[in-house]
This record gives sequence, C-alpha cells and structure tokens, in this order.
Amino acid sequence: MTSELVARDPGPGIDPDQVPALDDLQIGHLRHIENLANQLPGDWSKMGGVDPGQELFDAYRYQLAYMAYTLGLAQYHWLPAAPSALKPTFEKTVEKMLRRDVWSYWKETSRGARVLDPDITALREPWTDPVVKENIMYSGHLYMMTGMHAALFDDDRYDTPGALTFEWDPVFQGLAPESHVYQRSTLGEVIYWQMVENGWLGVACEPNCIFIVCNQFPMMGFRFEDLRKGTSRAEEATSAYAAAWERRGMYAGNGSFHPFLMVKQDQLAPPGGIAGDAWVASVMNTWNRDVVREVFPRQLRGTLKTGPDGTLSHYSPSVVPQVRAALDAGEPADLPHDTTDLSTDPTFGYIAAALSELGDERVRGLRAHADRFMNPTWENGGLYYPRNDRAWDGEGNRTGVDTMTGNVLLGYSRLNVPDGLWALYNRPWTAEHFAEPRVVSQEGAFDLRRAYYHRDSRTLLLTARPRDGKPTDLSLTVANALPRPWTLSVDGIAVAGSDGPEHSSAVRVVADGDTLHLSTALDSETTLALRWS
Amino acid sequence: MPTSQARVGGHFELIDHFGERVTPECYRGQFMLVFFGFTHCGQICPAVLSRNSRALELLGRDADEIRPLYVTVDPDRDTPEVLAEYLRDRHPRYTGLTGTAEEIEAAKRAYHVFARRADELDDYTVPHTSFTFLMNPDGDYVTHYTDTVTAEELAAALAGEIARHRRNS
Repeated sequence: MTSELVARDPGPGIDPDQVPALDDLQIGHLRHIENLANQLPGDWSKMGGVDPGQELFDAYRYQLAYMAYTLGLAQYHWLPAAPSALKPTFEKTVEKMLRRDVWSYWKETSRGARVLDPDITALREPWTDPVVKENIMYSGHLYMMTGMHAALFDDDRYDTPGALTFEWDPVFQGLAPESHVYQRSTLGEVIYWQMVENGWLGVACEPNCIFIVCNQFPMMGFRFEDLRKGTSRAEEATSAYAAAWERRGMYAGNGSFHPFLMVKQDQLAPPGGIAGDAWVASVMNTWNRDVVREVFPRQLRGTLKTGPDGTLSHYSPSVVPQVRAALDAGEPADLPHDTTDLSTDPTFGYIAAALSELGDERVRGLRAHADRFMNPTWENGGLYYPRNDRAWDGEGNRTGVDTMTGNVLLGYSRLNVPDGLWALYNRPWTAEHFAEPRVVSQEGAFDLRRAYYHRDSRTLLLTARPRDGKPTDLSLTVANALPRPWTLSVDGIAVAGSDGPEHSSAVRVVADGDTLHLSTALDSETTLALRWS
Repeated sequence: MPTSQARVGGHFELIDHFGERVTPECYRGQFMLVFFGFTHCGQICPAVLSRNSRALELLGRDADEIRPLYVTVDPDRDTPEVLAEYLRDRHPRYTGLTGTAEEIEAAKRAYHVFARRADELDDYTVPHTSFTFLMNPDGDYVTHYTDTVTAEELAAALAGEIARHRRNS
C-alpha cells in the first residue's frame, strides 16, 4: 500500500501524516532484533564480543537489554495498538537474559578485582546469585526490562513467584544445584535496599565500583514498578540519588561525568569522555531532563568530526582536547582522526542513542556515516552493521563496529524519537489506553508498519506488509472492540461491517464478544481501517 | 521454592540508655519504631525525632503499643548516658540504643542503614539514612517512612498499621 492510499480514506478525522508509520530501515532493525532473539538457546551468532568473560560493554546482557528497550520504544511510539507485533520478541530477550551464559560471569566477577579495588590483597569468596548484591550492570537492566514489559503490555507475568529464577547447575558438577528465585518486585526490593545502604549513591557494578550509568536503568525500573503498584519509589530514589551525588560531585573539572566511584577509597574515577557522557545522558534524560539538556551539549562539544556528505563520526579521546582548544581560539577545528586508536567500543552507538533521545539532528549524520562506512547488511529481512574490529579504513574513516552499536544501538536511535525514553517515564500509558481496541495476537509472515487507534474517529488503523515480498495469510485478533457498529475498510474500500456483510471475498471477520478476528490474504502492503460508528 | 527477599531488620544486641543489654526480643508485643541517628546531628535527627514524637502524641493511647527506639550511628560519642541526657527532655518516649562499633555495624547492616563519618575532626558529622522503620510486635518489618512524611501523615499511617494488626490477631 502507498501513502496515497492511506490518504484516500483511512477514516474520517484522521490526518495520515500524524499516524506513525515505520520505514523500511526501522522495520529492518526490528527484524534483526527478532532474528537475534529467535536464535536457538545458546546460539549467540553475531552477538559475540571481544572479551570472552562477558565483562565489557558489548556483553550479551547489554545487547539483550537494549534490544528490549528498542522494542519498547517501537511499541510506544510506532505501534501502540499492536502489542502482538513486538511482545513475543521482547519476552525472548528476557528469556535469554535469564540464561546462565548471560549472568554466570558474576561468579568470577563477584570475587573482586585489584584494578577496581587497589587495596585488596586477596579475592573474596565468589557467589552465583547475580542480583542479590552488587552487579547492577545486570540486575538494573533486568529490572528495567521486566518493568518496561509490564508498563507497555499491561502484563505482570514477571512479577509472579519464580518468574525470574537463576538456575546454577553445571552439567558435570554433581553438587546440589542452586536456584535463586526472584520476581520483578523482589528484584526491585533488593536493588532499592542496596541503594539505601549505600547512601543513595547507587549499587556497585563490579565490586567496589558504583558506575553512574548503570544506576540509571533501575530508576526506570522503579518508575515502571510504581505504575503497576501505585507507589512513588522512583520519585524518592531519583531525588535521593540526585542529592547524594550533589554532595559527592558527579562531574569532573571538564564537565564530564565521573564514570564511577570506588567506594572503599571514596575516590572518583577520572572522566571517560563522550562514551560515558552520552550513555548517561541517553537514560538520565528520563528523570533529570533539565540537567541533561544543560550539561550534555557541553560534554558533546568538539567530539564530532564532519566527514564527506554531512557524515559524522566521533573523535578519539586523544583528539578532543585539541578540537576544543581550537574551538576556544576560534580556529578551524577540523582535525584528523587519531587512527592509532584501535578501540572499537560502543561509543558510536552511545552517541547515536543520546542524540536520538535529545532530539539532536546530528544523529542523522552519525547514521549516514554508519550507512556509508560501517557495512550496513541485510540478512533474513533484518538490518544490522556487522562487527568489524578494523577501526579505520585506508582513508582514515572510522569503520570499527562493536556488536552493541551494530546490532542494537543504531537501530535504537532510528526507532527512538526526541524524548522518546522520557515519554515512557513521564507519559506512561494508562488504563484508558489498554481499554482501547488493539491487536493482541497475529499470525502470518508480515510486518506491521502502522498500528494506531485514533480515538476521535474511533478508528483502528493497521498497515501490514508481507515479509520478504512473499504473499502470506494475515490473521489478527483485535481485543477491546467497541460495542458499536463497525466498518472494515481495506485500502480505503469498505469490505465488511457489523451491519453486514461480515465477510467478503477479500477478508473474513468473526466477532466474538468484544473480540474481532480478522483474516485475509496479504500479497502486498495493505491498510486496514476498522472504524466504529 | 521460596522467593528471595530483601530482609529488613533482624537481630541486634545493644545497650539501652539505662545501661541494660537489649535485643529485639525485649520489645516483643509492641511495634518498634526504629530510627538511626546521632545526638550531634544538627538537622535530620532533630527534625525526624520531633516529627515522630509529634505523631506519637497524635496517636493518643495507641502510642502505648509502639516502642520508639533511637539507635546511634556514633557509638564513640553516644554513650548510654549521653543518649539518656539527650532524650530525657526532648523525646521522653524514646529509648536510646548504643553499643560497640561492631554491634552498631551489625544493626546498621540489618536495617540497610547508611552512615559514614564525614571527617576526622572532633566535631565530625555522620551523614546517615533518615528512614524510620516500623517493625510489628513479632519483630518483622512492616514498612518505613521517609523524612518527608509529616507528623499527621505518620500518625495516620501508624494508626492504620495498629488497626490492621488488631484485626489480624
């Protein structure tokens, strides 16, 4: 279906330009996430990172968490009337998050590390439970993921006993297996009380290290929990957290966030530059928007290099001070990249995520760079940027791609809208939304480009497109059908209605109480408009 | 299989401001209203203790079912005598609790209380958690109140918990 067809007659009172519709690239990113989420258990193809111990920023847990957040943004901003489209994939990400391959690193990491706690002379006794203490770099994400699921899908399945259970049972160990049994709310309690006992500075990631960024995600978790329970923990947590860091000092002399606090030494780590700043800003914007809007532009200053045709990439930390000095002096600040920097961490993706959240149009320049220099690849209908450990090409263009940036963060930036995560935090869906008509299940090999219920005209607008150009059968279940006469239009032509006929050669509709089952053959992009009088 | 829970409260062994060794078992049959602080505290402690004392006044006779406890996070300075002197006129309903550094650490840990000496000078401060914890007559955690709750709100909340307990027992 084309946009002209939508314009023809989607339903009286609907401005097609105001109806969100996913574009091809966005659908491609969602499809890639779905492809990854549907890989067999233990198959981490395309997700493998540099570090074998899941300790760096491309670890599975971060990819899975951001896959879920991307799906959440898409659900809220693009397909609000079709939880059927993304919910199954979202739940796959949680399922994978609970696999031992994702969190078992903690048994080694829990022992401590001299790099992060230079005063220790011996390592601690390890433990397997990945959420009971510290490790907010895992537990914070799991809490936000499961809370977001509840807030978006009106579903508390992860807050039932045992819903979040960590099984430790190595095949040949032969000792009693361990089960660590949680659910969303008990996970939140564990995080909350650690924040309390740490004076609200946050929960440690690696032992002794409270990272600022990792403590942003449980704040979202608290907020989502509040929405389900009618509590106000997020308000308490964010205000206490802000006050604690106001006393301790969150910013280094150059305006960057300190990455983390070493608790025992009461020592802040030196600023990590735009990587950490962007990552923090992209999430902290949810609860601390005014501050982020004030500090992030300064943190970003001098970190982006303009390339050919308006492309943008980030300077290495070694160059940024020189660029800023040139800017301060009013001199040309287009310095060459430092191609001796061979790191391929997710900095590129963090910046894209932050710019998308803050509504900074320069995110387009970053994506243009990625599309030109980072090997955009379509596979099984999905779009991603494959990992590339070669940081630069022969012309000095940044080409390195880590799995976080390539699998998720660039897609996240495409699915996000300005203040997109902020909206989930501050303008959550209410019971009114969940009572509206929406697609709760779907069958068939198609993608939904639109799924939007227009309240004023009482019209559910759906645009579906067969996957991979192959005709398919489409079947949809619409819940919360209004107790009013309805008419179904296909590409602007009325084909069925409650006043008859309910079926036509093109589409079959079966009413069952407040549920409607629609089915039709789908051989090209098609818009269905279900309108109640 | 039981769900893992964050436990709040638990056993402590301390000395009350009469010089007697006490444990939570000494207060069984009464709600415990537990607040951690230190007598040199210039802001939080006076405010919260006053708020709590006022709430207990508002409760009337129901306040008899509540034992307010003030646990010091500054055992070096807050001896039983200092606590007794501090509470006698200001907050006479309160019982002050102190102990060795290790005993106080254990109590703080049980209640997830943060407190850290801010400097090494004689006139040091000890920033600390400002929650007031409510434990039921069996010694189990019921809830906690932040320092933003007013005396009236606290009194109403406590009255509700007492009524709920009466209904269930």
